[in-house]
Amino acid sequence: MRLSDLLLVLSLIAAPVAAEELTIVSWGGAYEAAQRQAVIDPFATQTGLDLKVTVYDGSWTALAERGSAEGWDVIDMLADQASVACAKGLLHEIDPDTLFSQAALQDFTPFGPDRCAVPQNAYARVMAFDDRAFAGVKPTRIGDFFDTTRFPGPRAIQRSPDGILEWALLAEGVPPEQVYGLLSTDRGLRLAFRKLDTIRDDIVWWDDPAEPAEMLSDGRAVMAAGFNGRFFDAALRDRAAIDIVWDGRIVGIEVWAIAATTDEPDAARDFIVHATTPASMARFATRIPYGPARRSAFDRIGLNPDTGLPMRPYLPNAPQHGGRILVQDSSWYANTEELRQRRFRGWLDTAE
Amino acid sequence: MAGLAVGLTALAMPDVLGIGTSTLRFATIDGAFALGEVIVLIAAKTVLTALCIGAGFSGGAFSPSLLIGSLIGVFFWTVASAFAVVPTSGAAIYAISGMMGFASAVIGAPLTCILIVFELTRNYDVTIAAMVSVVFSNLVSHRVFGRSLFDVQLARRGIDFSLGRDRAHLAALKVVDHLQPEAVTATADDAPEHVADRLLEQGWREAFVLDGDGRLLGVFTPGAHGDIGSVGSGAVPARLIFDDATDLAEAMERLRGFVGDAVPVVSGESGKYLGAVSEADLVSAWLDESARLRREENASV
Repeated sequence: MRLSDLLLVLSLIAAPVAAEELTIVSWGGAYEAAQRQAVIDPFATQTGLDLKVTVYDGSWTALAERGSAEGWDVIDMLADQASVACAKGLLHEIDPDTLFSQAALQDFTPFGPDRCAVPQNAYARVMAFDDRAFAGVKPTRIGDFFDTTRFPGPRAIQRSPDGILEWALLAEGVPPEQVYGLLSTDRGLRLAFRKLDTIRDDIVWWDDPAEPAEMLSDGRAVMAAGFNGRFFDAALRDRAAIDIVWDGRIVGIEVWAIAATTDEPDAARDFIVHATTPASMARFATRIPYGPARRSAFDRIGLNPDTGLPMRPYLPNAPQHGGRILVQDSSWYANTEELRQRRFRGWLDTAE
Repeated sequence: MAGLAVGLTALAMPDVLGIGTSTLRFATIDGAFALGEVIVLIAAKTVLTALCIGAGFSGGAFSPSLLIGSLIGVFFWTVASAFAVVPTSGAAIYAISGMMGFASAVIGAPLTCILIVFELTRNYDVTIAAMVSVVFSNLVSHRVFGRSLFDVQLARRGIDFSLGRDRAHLAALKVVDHLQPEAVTATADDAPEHVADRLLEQGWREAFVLDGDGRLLGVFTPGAHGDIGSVGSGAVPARLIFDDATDLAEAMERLRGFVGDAVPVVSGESGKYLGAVSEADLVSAWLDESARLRREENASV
């Protein structure tokens, strides 16, 4: 047992009113199962606390409505939702400097903890294709998603402006660091939709994140925009002929945050410190392809316990992928929600 | 006023604001601007830049010139791709060529601009295209406007680099700083013999004749006029007069063909006599300054 863990245990034992129960809020499904095995169960064993896991839909409004009544303590959130919730005072403020050493703070990637949230893992919107559809040259770049001459066939896209606008500008040759700047202008949005016009007749829309992988498997689409975890499951667990293009992946960050209404702030903080150690992150990332949010955790990633496959190649933020990587700008997302939806609906309507 | 103009224009056209990072990026995307839009934007950015610099805003001409130049490139691309029968390359090449052609003429640094393109793109084709535009834009702007915006601005302040650095340095030295304290002056009613004695004493051949207010009447040379009553009637107008604005470079030009000891210097405003500079002093000042420039040029050797 490391010294920090020992101190953690001692501090909990020494606490006058021993924490009886900590409610952790997560997403359910395979994600939650991996989180239990990698993070929650080891913490429970270590501290003897009773940990309860609740599922929610990921929105900050759910936190506002249910958080206090159900006694939520620690919440797994998307970075943009957490920043909105933090601004609305729904989250308990933490002081990253007291929770982490300077070296640990430097270790976080692509960004470190802020006053409400500590990054825990990275997922990505990626482009995937049906390998059977392209016998010769395969798509390798985001530009190929919009190239219906070289790569003909239907494309599966989420019925939402998220992700596809960024890709449209990347395909126009805009470097990742300028994408959100340009999308913040009217001209940028117009250009993105103009690019989307070029594949309008080839789009098949999806709403459920499980659909794109199914569409690729059953031939409804030859290329699809979706989440890397879903494509991983289809390709490796179901042996579908799906390959992922990592160029232009849009990396989103999930964070741990503490509800403002928590009755166990100390235990909640201890849980977050435990959950964001490189060892916990690596345990989680070997079970499900969500990349760790700390650089040093990559060194610990080994084989998936179920399939026996090495997991490092499937993590969205693994350093060896190369290509362009776009880190989702959570404040841009938080500020443009209404505008994006309005422009997207406007574009959909002009189709008919 | 200038700020208000910028603000109002930016409400309609946000592209005019700032150093235009995003607009520069848009310029490289085919068809990001319609033809009319480009023309209005070029005009607006040019006018507003002039207005802001004229109004004394902090800021320079370089980054606006990058933006205006690349928009001009986009303009040519739009026209060329709309009317030309031959296929054209992407807007990006036109934008880069336009940007560098325009900026190099504004800052007067054609070689620098070509190297910047090469460094940033590492692409021979783009560099050659940019080189052609830089060369021609510099040829044209040199004939029509001048070597660069900065040269023209300096020329307005009286510093002209077009004849070389020596000339600019010499033009900064004024003859009024080299007055010879021993020059002999006389008033109009002085007796000629008396003045001749004083000249002999100082070793000069000419005396400068002044009126009661200290204005220069002429030059008196003893022995040139036979018998005269006063210095005033023997004085002849000075063949060469400098004023307090005369610089060394100009003085050296005008000394060509001058014979005499010294040149009188008068105040440009009041016409009052300030003193005289000797030919020898001007020559040595010129030699000293030339030597200083040579030393400066060879300082690193």
